Order: sequence, then C-alpha cells, then structure tokens
Amino acid sequence: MKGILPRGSKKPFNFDIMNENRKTMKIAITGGKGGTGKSTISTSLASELSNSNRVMLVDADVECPDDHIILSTTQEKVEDVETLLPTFDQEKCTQCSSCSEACKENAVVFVKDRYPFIVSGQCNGCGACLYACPSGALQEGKQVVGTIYWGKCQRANESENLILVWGEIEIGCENTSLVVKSTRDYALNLISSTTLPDSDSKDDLIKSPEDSLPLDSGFDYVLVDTAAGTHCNVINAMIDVDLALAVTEPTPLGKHDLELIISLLEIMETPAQIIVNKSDRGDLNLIRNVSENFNIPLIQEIPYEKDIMKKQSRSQPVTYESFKELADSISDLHNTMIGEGRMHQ
Amino acid sequence: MKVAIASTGEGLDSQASPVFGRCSHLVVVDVVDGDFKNVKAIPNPSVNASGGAGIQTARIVGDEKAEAVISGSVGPNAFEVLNQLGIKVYKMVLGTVEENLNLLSQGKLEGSTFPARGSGMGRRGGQRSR
Amino acid sequence: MKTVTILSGKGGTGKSTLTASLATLLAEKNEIVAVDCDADAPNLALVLGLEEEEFDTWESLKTGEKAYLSSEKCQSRKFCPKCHATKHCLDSCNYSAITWNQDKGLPEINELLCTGCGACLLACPTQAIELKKVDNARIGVGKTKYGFPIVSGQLKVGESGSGKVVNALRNRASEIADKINADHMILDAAAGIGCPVIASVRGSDYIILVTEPTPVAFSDLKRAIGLVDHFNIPCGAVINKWGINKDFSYHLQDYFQNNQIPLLGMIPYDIRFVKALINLKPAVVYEPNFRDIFSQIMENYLSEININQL
Repeated sequence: MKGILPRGSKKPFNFDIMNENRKTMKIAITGGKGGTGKSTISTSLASELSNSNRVMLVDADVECPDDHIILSTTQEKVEDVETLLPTFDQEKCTQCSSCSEACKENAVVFVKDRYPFIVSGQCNGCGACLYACPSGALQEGKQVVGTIYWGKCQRANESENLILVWGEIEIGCENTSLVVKSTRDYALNLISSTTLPDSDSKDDLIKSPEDSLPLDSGFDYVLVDTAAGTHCNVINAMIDVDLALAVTEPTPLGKHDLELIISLLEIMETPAQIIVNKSDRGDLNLIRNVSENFNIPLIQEIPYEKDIMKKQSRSQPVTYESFKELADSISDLHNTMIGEGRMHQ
Repeated sequence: MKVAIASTGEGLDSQASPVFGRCSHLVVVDVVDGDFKNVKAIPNPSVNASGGAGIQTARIVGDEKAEAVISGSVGPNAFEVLNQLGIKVYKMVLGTVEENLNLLSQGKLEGSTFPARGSGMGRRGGQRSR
Repeated sequence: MKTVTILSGKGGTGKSTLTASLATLLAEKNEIVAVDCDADAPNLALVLGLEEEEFDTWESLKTGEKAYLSSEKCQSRKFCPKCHATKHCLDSCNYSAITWNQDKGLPEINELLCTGCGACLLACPTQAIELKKVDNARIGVGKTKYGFPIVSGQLKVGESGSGKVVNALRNRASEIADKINADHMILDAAAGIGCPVIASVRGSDYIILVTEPTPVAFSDLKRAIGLVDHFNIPCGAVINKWGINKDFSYHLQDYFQNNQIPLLGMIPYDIRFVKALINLKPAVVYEPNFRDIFSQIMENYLSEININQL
C-alpha cells in the first residue's frame, strides 16, 4: 500500500489473502463519478457469475445502499456498527479542559466553571480525549453509527449462490469510513470460514448467514460495490481487493473522474480495468485515451439500452449480452490467476 | 437577563444574523427592565472555522454566561450545546439587534425548539411518510 | 444572500446539469457565486465549460493533518515485539491505520487511513509521533463565460477530509460573494449523504433535491430528505428524466405532495443533455429550447425563498 508505482507497472495478484480451499477473487466496482452504473454492473455481474459460482456481493455505498433494492433481496440485520463515545465521570473531573483541547472535531465542549460534555453528533470516536484526560475522568461508551444487513435473492429464477451484505449509515452521521470498514470486515470474515464473527454477543432472533448457509463451501467471488468519489469511504472499500473495475461513461465528466480513480488505484497498487457504460452515448475516444495513457485495459463497452433504464426503473436486475461477456472475461481472469497462483507455489 | 444575539456587526444597530455558527459577531447585552446595558460585541472566531463552528459559537455564549440566544437558524449540534447549557433559543426576525431585543423584552419573539426527530439520537429523520 | 444547495443522494441524477443551468439563468438578473462542493470528483466547472487551466487562481489548502512516527524516538523495539501493552499507538488508533512492521520492529502508519485525530500522539509514552499539516487539496477560483464566478476544489487523490475542504470552499466563496454583493450562492453537493454533503447542507437556506423516477434514486432521495430534516432546512424537489418511468414519476409526485415538499419542476430524459455535457455547455445554452424548463424551476425556487421569508 505504500508508494506510487510508475505508470503501467502492475502489482502481481496477491494470493496469500485467498481462501485455502477456494480461490476467492475480490473485485471492487468503482468509478469516481456517481450514476455511471456501478450498482447496475455490480448486481448484474454478481447475478451472471452466480450461475456457476458462489458469489458474495458487498454494497459498500453505506450512505446510499441500493443493491438490495435492485436485487429485491431479503433483509436481515446482522449487527450494529458502534463507535466509541466517551462518557464523563464528574467526580474525577478537575475541569482542566485537556479533553476539549485534544478534540480536533470540537465535539468536547468545555465552558468555564462547568463540567465538559460531548456533542455526540460531532464525535467521530477517535478517543483522543480519553488519552488526554490526566485524571481518568473519561470512560469508553458506545454510540451506534450504522447497521450491517445481509440478504439473499428471492426471485425463483435466481440462483441461491448469491448473497448480499450491506451497510447503512445513520442519517446525519459523518463516520462513513467506519461503517464501510465494518461492513467489509464482516463480509471478509464470512468468507474465511475459520474466523466467523462472534456469535455470543448476538441476539438469538437475528438469523445470520452463518446459520443458514453452507459456508464451508466458500465463495468464488466477492464483489465490492463502492460509493462515488475517491475519498476515505471508497479507499476503505477497496483495501486488499485483487482487482478494481472502474466504471465510467464517455463524457468529459466521466473521463475526468476516471483519471482520479485510476490515480487512486495506482497509489493503492491495485490492478484496474475499465468498463464504459452507455458507451454509445457520448465520445468513446475520451475513455480510450485514458485507457492508453494509463495503460489500463478497457475490457467492456456496455451500450445504452432503453431496456436497462426500464428494468432499472422497475428494480429488476438487467440480463444483457454485455454483462454475460463481462462475466466471462472476469472468470477467465480468475482462472488465469488461479493457474498462475499454482505455478507460483 | 443576559442575552447573546448573533449579529452581522458590532452594535445594537447592526443587523441580526440569519446564521448562528458563522455569524460575524455575538452582541451580548444585559436586559434590565427593558433597558439594554453593558453592550459588548465579541467577534466570532468561528466565522471561518473548518468544522464545529456552531458548537464553538455556542461555547462562547456559555462562557459569557448568557441565558438566552437570539439567532436565525441554529444547527442541531449547536442547539444541543445550548440546550445542555440551559440557554434558551429565540428565533430572530429580520431587523437590527435592537429591534430583536425590544421584541424579546415584549415577549414577542418565538422560542426555537428543534423538532424531535425519529428515534433516539436525532437522526433517521423519520417523520415523513413513505 | 441566499445559499441554496443542490442535493440528491444518488449520483448521476443531474445535480451538476441542474446547477449549471440554474446558475446561468439566475446570473442573468442577479449576482451569484457557484460552488462545486464535490471536492472528490468536481465536475461543475466542466459542465460550465471552464477547464482547470482556465481558472484565474489555484491555491493549495492544508485542512488535514497526519501522524508521523520518528523511528529514533520510538522505544517499541526495546520491548518484546509480541507484547501489545507496549505498542500504545496501535491500540489507540480506531481507524486501524497503525500496524506492526515485524521486519523493522516498528509501528507503521498508513497514510491513506490516518485521519489525523491525534489519539496515537497522546497515547505514545515517548512522544515519538507528531502531527504534521498536509497539503491535501487545492481551491480554484474562475470566471465562467456566463458572467459569474465559480469556486471549485480538488481533494488530492488518497487524502481525506473532504468535509473540511467543503467548508474552506464555502468560506472562499463567501469572501467573493461579499465583494460582488451576491444575491445567491449556489452549491452543487457531492453524491451520498456523508461528511462532504453534510458540510454543504449545513447552514444552507434552501435545498433543491434532484431525483429520477427509479426505486433506487427514490430510496437515496429519502435518505437525503432525512438529512435535510435533520438540519431543519426548507426544501423543494426536481424530477429529472421523468419520462423513463411515468408511473414512478406520478408516484414521486404523490410522495412530494403528501410530505409537503413542493415540486419545483420536471426535466425530461433527452439525449441533448448528454450532448450539452460533451460540448461543455450548460443545457440552457446548448439547447435554448430547454430554457423554459429551467426558468420555471428558477421562478419556483425564487418564490419558495419568498414564501419561506428567507
């Protein structure tokens, strides 16, 4: 994760993080610009791949998660995402104001001659105030900042090989990256069957994937659908993936944001490929140039189809020739990776 | 009663500010029997703050030991601080600081209560129908 | 001056398209400042036909801090590398940004994950960590061809703190607004409802919600409305691409009516909007026939401002 690779040089795929029995390939679907079709492509690719593979789709756009709507999945709560929220013991407090000074977010309010208190909506749970307090007057409390859910497809014609895990942040909360990180960690714990998440603290009523899925069979693919943008929430979603698919559209806006996300992927040393959605609505050369300049392959063009829009507007997953081609090229790549991985052993 | 008014300037004749956290000044006044004494203008250091401006401004009001605030919109975090400090919030009307103070003394300013929303911590905004 | 924020939750619903056309029309009779509050992936200037090198000024911005470890001062290698009690900084970081580097026998701080909160600094018993300001963004100010200034930001790739960048953008825009005595400041928010969006919404006088008639956009819209309600700000709505699903458009209209959210206008789906983007022109400039649609939205916005006595 350190340093910027020179353009064009790619890190070899990382096999140590792959499951022992099944080689799980982790793919992020991202793109920088919003509305280019990340969720459409994530859900459709997941559907296609699940015809002959076990697939986990992780919706890491926790501010506005949509994949469960597109796939019409069931919705079961797995757990709350909690962050630290300090509490104050007034008996120990000497009103020294160290806690308030340590807080970079101005969440700890200290007013002359009064005891400090915290504004929960402003606190990001970093815990600096706890370290700053010389008299041990602050304790670790918790506040809920989001929720993790999972679900499976309900439509009869859809494969049982696909499960969805998603996070949802509380409205008004700014700690997006924590919810993304927790959602990702939960999903990745699920695929490595040896380290299932703790079951003791969980409500018995909650039906979690561990209870109802043959997890020992593992997953072939984990697809992570990221939010728009390039900052911390997107970075947290893409950590340790084997491949990132950058979804864009052939407009100057799509090009601009594609260059940003590719720069980020270079910093993260993550192999990337480009998918152009609505490829016939605009100027495809814009994207071809980016592909050449950055030496990142453009692997799929998905033309605009009224049908896609229509199905999308009715919350139906899109089955479409381009997605089948995309799924085929992904599984080819997967097989190549497994092949190369064996050669390396 | 000590009152702090979010203001766009330093004096009683300045316009009251429609924003709280990033108002340019706080004018602090002792209201005694309808007279305004000890008028003091505090430049708001949070006017260009990068975050938590409302909280910092509310803290200054607390440091001044004001019992009431007159301002335009007060954000949820600043409102929580003022609430914790037991400071009452009144909604300003368009006009000068003095005009607002007069209305307050006559009991004609509307007290601001932040609408209680959804569950628990003031998030979720759940009062809209589906 | 009125501050209006264009918001949608879902990306790609047409925030920048609406912002550009609305700003262009408003500027015909008013002094305005436009601000692109999507510092991650700023597009508004492009939609207005202003390329990066055409801006008047770009200045760097240091709103962020990151922790740096001095390996000389760090005493961790004197202790047993397996004993967590001595690696205070690792335990202190709630963002998993500090890991143990076995080879070096030292903690390692991941710059991409560090938020600069300073907890490790306070936890370190040997003062081996310090916070340094980082150059995390740039702010640009330019003049559009349509007679109004635009303030735009660009977060450096891999840096965090986009909420603080938005605050800095708004401060810069306020200075300009004061200078030209602006009537309106129009903010184009990022997708989502997280920190950069909260920084855009906070302190706005009015919110224009843009949505499209799909269940996905509707779901995101409701979360965006939740945010607007959280800050108790009046809002109105615009349905974009309304023709792609007329039934759902009616459903949206009902929803807005039932929830007292005025519908400011409806924009059809039309390939000419894409062509306008490719030609780097606001829709109302590229296709004057679109003027009526956006004028209506503008008039409705202006009367909403009056009704709410903002």
